[in-house]
Amino acid sequence: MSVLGRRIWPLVVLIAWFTLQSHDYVRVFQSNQTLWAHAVTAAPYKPRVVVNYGLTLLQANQLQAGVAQLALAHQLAALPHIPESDRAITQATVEANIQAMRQASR
Amino acid sequence: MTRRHHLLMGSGLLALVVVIYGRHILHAEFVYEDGVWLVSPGTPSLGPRVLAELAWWLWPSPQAMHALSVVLFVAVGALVGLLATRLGLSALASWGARALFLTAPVLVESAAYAASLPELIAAIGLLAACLFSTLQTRWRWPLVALAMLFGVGGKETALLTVGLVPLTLWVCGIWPLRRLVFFGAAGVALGVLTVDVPALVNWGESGDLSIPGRDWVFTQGAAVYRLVGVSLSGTGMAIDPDLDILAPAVKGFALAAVGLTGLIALTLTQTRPILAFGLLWCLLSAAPRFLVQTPRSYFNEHQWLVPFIGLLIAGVSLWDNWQLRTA
Repeated sequence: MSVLGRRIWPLVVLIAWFTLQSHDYVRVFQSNQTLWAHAVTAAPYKPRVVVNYGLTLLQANQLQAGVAQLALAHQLAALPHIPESDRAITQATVEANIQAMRQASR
Repeated sequence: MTRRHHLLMGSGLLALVVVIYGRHILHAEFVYEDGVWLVSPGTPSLGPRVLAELAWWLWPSPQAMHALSVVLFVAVGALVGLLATRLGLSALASWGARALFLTAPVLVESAAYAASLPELIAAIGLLAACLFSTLQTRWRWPLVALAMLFGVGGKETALLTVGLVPLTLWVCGIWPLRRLVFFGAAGVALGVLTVDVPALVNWGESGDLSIPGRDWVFTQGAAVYRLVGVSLSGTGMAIDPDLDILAPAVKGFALAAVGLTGLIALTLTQTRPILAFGLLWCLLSAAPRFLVQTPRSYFNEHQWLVPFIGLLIAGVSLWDNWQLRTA
């Protein structure tokens, strides 16, 4: 400990905090579903995030939850602060996926 | 510190990396834009990003790519420690820099998201170039060029070498401040004369994805401000944060704070050169993102890898100064 000295403790506490936080956050990158589920909690009003979460739910065969997320993204895209390019892409993505599901269910 | 102490510190840090990323390497799938690399590589072609393409082409499995990412991440951490030592920080502070780098939550995206691999390769090339530039050998400039070339094989981020090597040469006492100022002023003048900012912001974008230059710069200011907060607190990480929701006044405040940090750094060049170096490194390496748009994505965590190194050096230099002064 003589090599390290007492002034090392703030650094040790910060490293311990960082390790815990990183250990926790790295789990988010486990799969697309964990990634977008986390992203939605971090940015609940961002249409792209909600669309991506909806699509991963559809891919996981959670159709009802997936469609609900796509409908939410469509609504969010209409909010005034959303950039025009994001609005257009979100709405087009949602409409294309809903249409594809309708055709698949016929 | 003895050799035994260094071995213990190194082993301890590797153990921490295994604790954080071990399970991820073994079990994580590919996510989000990993798919773009998976479907597009074909045979790697000579040019920027060739090394990243080669890696995806050779090892297109999640375990291999995640293991490679973490190994490269550890290599970047080791180079950060060497840079800290070269700048004159104590051995303990250099280990602190390595430890904070390898455990930083804001860098999880760099290590755990396989699509971040190009940024890691670029950081290795860039840091190696900065270290080579301080060597007392006639081969240093060819070595700098080779290291930069290696970095560009990962991503164009390594072109930052052009700005960061002079900064390193200044702080190591190899270049006088006036030469750095001349170099910086010439770079800015050249940029102002030759770069059409609004056009550059939308360079390579389709019409649908274009964005007004002023909006881009203000939102990037907010993005940098956010990333500094995430870096310091170790909380609030997100793959795609919502910056559009912020009011223009908030973005303006954030951009002003970033500019003010630059001014503060300039005033510290004489009294606290390493602190000034860290802050200037951070801002200089963040600056190109204010000009070049990445499709529909503001400054994110894996792009923050190189700027974070400057912030880390600045923080650790403050701690080192405090611990040496009060010892």
